[in-house]
Amino acid sequence: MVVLERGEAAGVVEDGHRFVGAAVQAAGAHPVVVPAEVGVDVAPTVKIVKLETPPKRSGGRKVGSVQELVQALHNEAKGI
Amino acid sequence: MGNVLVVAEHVHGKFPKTTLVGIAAGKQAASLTGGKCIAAVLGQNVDALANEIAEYGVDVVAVDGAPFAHYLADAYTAALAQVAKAKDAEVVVAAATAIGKDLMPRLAARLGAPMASDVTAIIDGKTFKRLMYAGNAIATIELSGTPRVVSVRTTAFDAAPRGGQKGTVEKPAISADSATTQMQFVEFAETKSDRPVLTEASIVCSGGRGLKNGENFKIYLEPLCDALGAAMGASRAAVDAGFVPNDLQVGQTGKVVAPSLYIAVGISGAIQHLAGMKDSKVIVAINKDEEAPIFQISDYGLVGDLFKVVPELTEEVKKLKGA
Repeated sequence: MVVLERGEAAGVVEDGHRFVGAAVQAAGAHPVVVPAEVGVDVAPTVKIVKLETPPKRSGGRKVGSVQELVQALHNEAKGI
Repeated sequence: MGNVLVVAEHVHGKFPKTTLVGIAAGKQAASLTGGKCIAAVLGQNVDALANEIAEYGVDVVAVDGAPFAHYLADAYTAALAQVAKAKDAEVVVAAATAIGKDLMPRLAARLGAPMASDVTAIIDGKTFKRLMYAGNAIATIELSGTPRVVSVRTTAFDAAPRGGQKGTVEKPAISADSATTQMQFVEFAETKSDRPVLTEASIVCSGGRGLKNGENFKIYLEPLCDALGAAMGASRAAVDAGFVPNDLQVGQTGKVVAPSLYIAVGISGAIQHLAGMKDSKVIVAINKDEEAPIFQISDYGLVGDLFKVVPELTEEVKKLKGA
């Protein structure tokens, strides 16, 4: 697999594989543009301060029948 | 000091609960930045709406005019960028609804601002918590620069209550020029339902691929929803298979819900689905595969054939409600 970063930056790759060879050649011919040269600020504005795992849901239990489920929802969970 | 601008989305002349969630988050942010919370209402003939949202104790900027009659990303982005600048907004907030998810990244780009999406907690005016990796990690992130654009997860904040000192309403003249309005509104095609709105319902029953076809949603799941007074949802698998329209999709790429009771029927529990419902208070899973991952996060699991169990459950619920 050929990586075409420079060719893509130059807008050469148009479609499909037929252009790959041409794109590689063109990529070599084009200068690489540095963002600062075209006035684009790429300094990151988002900083990750911390990563943590979310609280785990405690696993519940299996109920044996529809009646048991409805009773549990009605009496324990007060959902119905 | 740093004002907070909240985009107040409205549907059919009303503010949905998600908008009030955005207002609540905006007020919280304003209390941390020491500025005012200002709601932006965009639309046509929005005087009544602007006055209504002012009742929630926020100042209001109403952008009124024909170009804003319907949500269009380009016109709304351009107008909001002007409002944000005029109001010296330090933080711009919207609920992460379908519109919020479309609008806010554009607005951030227009303002050259950093953005935090799907925020679940506001630490201070520039530090936020948000979920990453389909809810498997909580990142605390810091945004630098002003303004900062934030979309908030609709289940992470309580809806703002009506009250407080009524805010002022102003209507600046903001026009949309042809450069910013290249989109045109054609039609709003909507699925009408008498059931509760998915993101506002206190009970949600969702169906997955286990239901096998769209007809079975009608035969099995709808009666259960109606007996419970629940909203109907679906997994992505069911939506992709064409069983139900995609506005019912619950999950990472669909709606995020956190009802007091969530019943998952024939849903195996892919991580992307769990991302949209695992903050529900009580989760019930009905599935014939006892190894299904949904059982790991459900409070009550029932292993069985849903085509037998669901009608039985519907009858039991009816009995209970009738009693």
